[in-house]
Amino acid sequence: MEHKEANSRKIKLLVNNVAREDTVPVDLRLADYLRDWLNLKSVKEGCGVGDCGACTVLLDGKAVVSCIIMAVEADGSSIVTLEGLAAEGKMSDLQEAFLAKGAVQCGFCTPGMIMTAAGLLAENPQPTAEEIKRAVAGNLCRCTGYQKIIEAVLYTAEIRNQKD
Amino acid sequence: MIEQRGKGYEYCRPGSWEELAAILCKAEAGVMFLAGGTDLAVDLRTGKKSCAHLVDLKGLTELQGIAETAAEEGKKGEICIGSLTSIHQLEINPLLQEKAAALPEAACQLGSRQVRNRATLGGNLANASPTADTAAPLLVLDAFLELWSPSGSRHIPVEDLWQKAGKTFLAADEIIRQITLPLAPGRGTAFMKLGPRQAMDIAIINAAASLELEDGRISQVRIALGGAGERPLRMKQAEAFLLGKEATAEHFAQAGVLAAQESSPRSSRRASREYRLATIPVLTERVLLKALSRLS
Amino acid sequence: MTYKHEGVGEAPLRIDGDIKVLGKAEYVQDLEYANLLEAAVLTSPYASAKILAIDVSGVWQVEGVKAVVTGRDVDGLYGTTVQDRPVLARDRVRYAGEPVAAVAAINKAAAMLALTKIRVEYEETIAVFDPEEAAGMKEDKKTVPLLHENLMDYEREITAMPVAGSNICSHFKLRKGDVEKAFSEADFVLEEEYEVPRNHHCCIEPYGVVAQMEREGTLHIWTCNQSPYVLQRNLAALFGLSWNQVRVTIPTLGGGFGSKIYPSLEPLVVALAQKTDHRPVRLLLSREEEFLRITNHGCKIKIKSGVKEGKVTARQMAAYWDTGAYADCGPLVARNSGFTFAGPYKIDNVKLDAYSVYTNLPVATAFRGYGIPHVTWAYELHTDRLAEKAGIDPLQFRLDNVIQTGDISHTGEEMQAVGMKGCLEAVAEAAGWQPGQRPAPVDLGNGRYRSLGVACSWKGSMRHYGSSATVRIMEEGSVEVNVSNVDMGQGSSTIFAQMVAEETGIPLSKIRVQHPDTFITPYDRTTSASRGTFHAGTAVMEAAKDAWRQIQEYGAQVFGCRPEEVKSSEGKVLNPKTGEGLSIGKLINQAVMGGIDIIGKGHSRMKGGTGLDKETGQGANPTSFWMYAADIAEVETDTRTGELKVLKIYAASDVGKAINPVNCRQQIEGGVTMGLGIGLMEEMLFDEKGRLLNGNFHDYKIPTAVDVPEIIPLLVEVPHPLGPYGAKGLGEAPVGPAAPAVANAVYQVTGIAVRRSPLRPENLKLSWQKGKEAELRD
Repeated sequence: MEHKEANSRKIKLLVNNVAREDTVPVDLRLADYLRDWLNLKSVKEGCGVGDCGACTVLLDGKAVVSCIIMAVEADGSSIVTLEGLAAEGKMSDLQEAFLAKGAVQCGFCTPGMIMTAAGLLAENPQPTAEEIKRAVAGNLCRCTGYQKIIEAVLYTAEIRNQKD
Repeated sequence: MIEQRGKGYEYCRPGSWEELAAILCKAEAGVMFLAGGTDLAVDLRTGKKSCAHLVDLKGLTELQGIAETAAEEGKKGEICIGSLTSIHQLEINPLLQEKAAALPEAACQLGSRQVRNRATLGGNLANASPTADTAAPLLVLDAFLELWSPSGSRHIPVEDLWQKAGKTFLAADEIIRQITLPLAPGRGTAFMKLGPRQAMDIAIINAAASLELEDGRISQVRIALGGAGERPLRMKQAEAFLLGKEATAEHFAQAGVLAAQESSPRSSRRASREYRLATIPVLTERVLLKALSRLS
Repeated sequence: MTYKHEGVGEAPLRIDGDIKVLGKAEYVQDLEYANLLEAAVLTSPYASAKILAIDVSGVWQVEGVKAVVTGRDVDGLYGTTVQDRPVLARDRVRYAGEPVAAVAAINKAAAMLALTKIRVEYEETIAVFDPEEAAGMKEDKKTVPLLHENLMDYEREITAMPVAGSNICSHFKLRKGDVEKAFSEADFVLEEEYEVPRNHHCCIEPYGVVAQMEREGTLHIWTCNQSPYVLQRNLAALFGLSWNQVRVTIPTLGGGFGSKIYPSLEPLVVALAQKTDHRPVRLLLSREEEFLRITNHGCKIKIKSGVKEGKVTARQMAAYWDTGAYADCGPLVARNSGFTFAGPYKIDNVKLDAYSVYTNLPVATAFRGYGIPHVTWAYELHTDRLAEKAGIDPLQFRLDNVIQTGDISHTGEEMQAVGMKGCLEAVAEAAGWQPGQRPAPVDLGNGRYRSLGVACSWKGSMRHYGSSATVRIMEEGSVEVNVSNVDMGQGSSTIFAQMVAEETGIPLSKIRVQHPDTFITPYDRTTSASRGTFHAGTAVMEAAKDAWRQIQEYGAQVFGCRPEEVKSSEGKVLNPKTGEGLSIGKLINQAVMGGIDIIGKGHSRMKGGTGLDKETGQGANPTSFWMYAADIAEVETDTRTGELKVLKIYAASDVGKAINPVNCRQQIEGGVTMGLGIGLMEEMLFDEKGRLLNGNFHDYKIPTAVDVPEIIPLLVEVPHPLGPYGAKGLGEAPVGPAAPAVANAVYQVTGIAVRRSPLRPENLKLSWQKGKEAELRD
């Protein structure tokens, strides 16, 4: 019987603020680790080669596409998925804005889109529309035409800045 | 495309140069270096590339960072960039924005934000794509590279890195450690890119220029193009033509024509040779104009 | 909690929005099963070949393999209009990418590894890729290989009109008036050719199916499909089951755009599931496989028009639709775009021929607009050339020629509730373009110019297929809406809930719209042709009215009044005598001692639909409703590089009545963006052997956030007498005019017509260069 087993390696990381320790095959993609091992299904598989952004998560605060990163590469880092944005099930302001501004249609690109926007706002709390467009250019959406997505991110920034 | 899990490679992430050297000395063949992995991860999974040892360089934290060395007597100032510095770091770095504008300008147009967060300058160079977005800026910035292998390190001008598409002159156990940009205070630099889409695109042609004037005449000029040949190229005839001339739109247009003459672009799925030749003069002219506008 | 009505005309939050922003929406790839097997498909590397032998014995060397199927294992043929397609290729393959064998194993890696153990011996045969050539219509290439030698023996629908001994699986004809006479009397005649290559739907969710032969005898399918009942019936026929044994469950869909309307790879997965011990088998396609699964049609169009005194008096057109290796809905695309082919213009002499032609390329199917974006590309670029020749401003020329209420259409229909002119006027006003006074291009320096272009389009929905719905009001006051219309992102479930809120006064927050499931939700033909709001909406509205009538009857009984006196207020039923509100539960309890649901039923049964005559294409009522859209594009053209920057798109659609204005704007913004994508950058590229070269998102470009201009959606409301609350459909109409409006703006700058889409910088630059050279030679 032919059945190849990949080499494995132990990794330690924080996922949505929970410490994890797992022994994973060295070629296991981060996306599969999150989806299949941790059941974080907001991480979507849209292309598998880093082109569509549907599997975007935050790695040490930066938006990355988890389908072209190996789980072993994430050893020692902190990962946040969309599930981690909603503290105790309560929607974050960014999620609320996506809903309120009509930025959600089929919803398949939405988790990745929100994660990229979250990464952007963490680094640049007052982005211009142009900066938002450039930031989410790696998150493909076929439904919305992006306009309402840009509005939602602008709106979130505005609300946050009012609070400050 | 048949996807197969478990190509059976060993993965390691050395935390020191000694550890890296030990790994490389032990491994006989089939070593691949992993930086950001934005291209390599896919190639390994689809079987386009394979290796026996995947050496992740991300454990060498000193490979990350951008620092300036001030000018001293007899020595120009420099900016040193660790090869594992992410493209995004280049994009937002104030030092580079001020003193080597072409590089962050190129960085912000490379791939998606997610890719820029992950991809590294060293990886972009070592990938040896003829249209690598950071290549043309480094060529016009006279960058040189510090290479490292277990047998020692050496310095080369960035021009001498590439052989042809996908192939460098790096030895099998050699990596890029640092990219150094000599500073030239009176210089204006710029980058431009032509692609079918306005973002997330591999360039059809990209162009960078650097320009210095003395008494209204061009005292130093560098023009580099990606997509104009088998590797990123300096346009030396066009540069020679401009040297000593006034910086006028007309001269830039003539330089553009010369650049097309010294280019030998290939037809690919992304664009035909004909189209590349038709747009090289325009991009060359425009990038020079943009560099000029940065002088004042 | 304060009472919120959120009925018709309002813009409540999408009812499925919260689960989507929380990442809880479940698409096929997210569903979990016990004992799941993963499928992988081996496809043909050749576009045309005989299969001499297949040896699958090697798959059993791989640990974890549970089933393997080839064409020999599955009898029967399937297909939407022509039953021409085997579940897996049998003696021959007809496109590169056609399924030849499939494996199910305990994980994907084992299934993929097993594919490498299958040996297939092929003998390559001659392939044909150009639809005009395949149709035998090219003078120099009259002899072409036939893809389906027994075409005439296939089972088919009446809408498929094949031509014996050819690759033409359908020839649609429309004949009205006398084009030749009108051409001879015209001031001028212009004849042109246009082409739109194949492009792709690119749903961000790749296709996925799970099939299980359940122990109790049900075939259960979970799939991302837009027409669960069409699939149910096709699978039942193919696998010898009765309809009530086939359960199709539709989870949340990640986009459709036509790519998921008809049965696709579901039969293949069922064939594998039949070979396992009741285990569920899942097929999730990679992006590259999804590109080959199904595509949009490519099309070549010849168009000839006669103009007399500024009016289009005659139009002759021929379209060659490249439907690929199997017909799928190709004949319907030829027909449905066929009868609207001449454009939203009053033209008295029309001669149209639309050919759906087999080629050795992947199967083409429906795509948002069902051929309308292709034909709009042709007739709207052509219209600008006509206006130019006539010396009339292109906006004015359109206003002078467009079809209006009361006009007779090309098929002989007396048009009602036509909003075409209204759409043109709306975009003209918003863009500041006075009819008759087109603004001149603005010179921006260094070869760049800014200019405006206009285009318009219409789309007939389709035949008068039925839809049913039930509205179930439970005693506690919560509501379940059962309808098989698939919400794939267009927001139909929100609209249905609004309709129920409108009719019953029950707040939206208490209304739940079920996912379609053929064991639960009643019949609906299909979610396509922009028919959801109109047809399924009518059914839901009727069901809600029926449920409310029952509540009124209980109210009359309890309050001692006439049923029509019973009204709702803030979610309660009002006693007309006391003005007191009673909850639905209490009312039911008082009337019948409780314990029942109120079940309202509704149907959309359009009467009076006619077909179209086989020879003349004439028919007085071929479509249940029409949609109209117009765009003005503001474009920056770089004449030196060919780059275009679309700055703004003013986009108007006649929606009849906006049930939810935000949803309507979403449809327009998304539709325009899709139209721009196919017009500016999207094209599937095949090599000379018919193999796809760019089946991924880095080589096949769709618009990113940076590419999309400011879109100004404008809602025009010319109510339809039969639509729910006056609504028409909307989904498809905004796609058509976007790209032609851009092309017309570019033409104003360069004066050189580019007739093939997409307007990629290279295509433009090189066409202009050639155009200039041609001018110099002349």
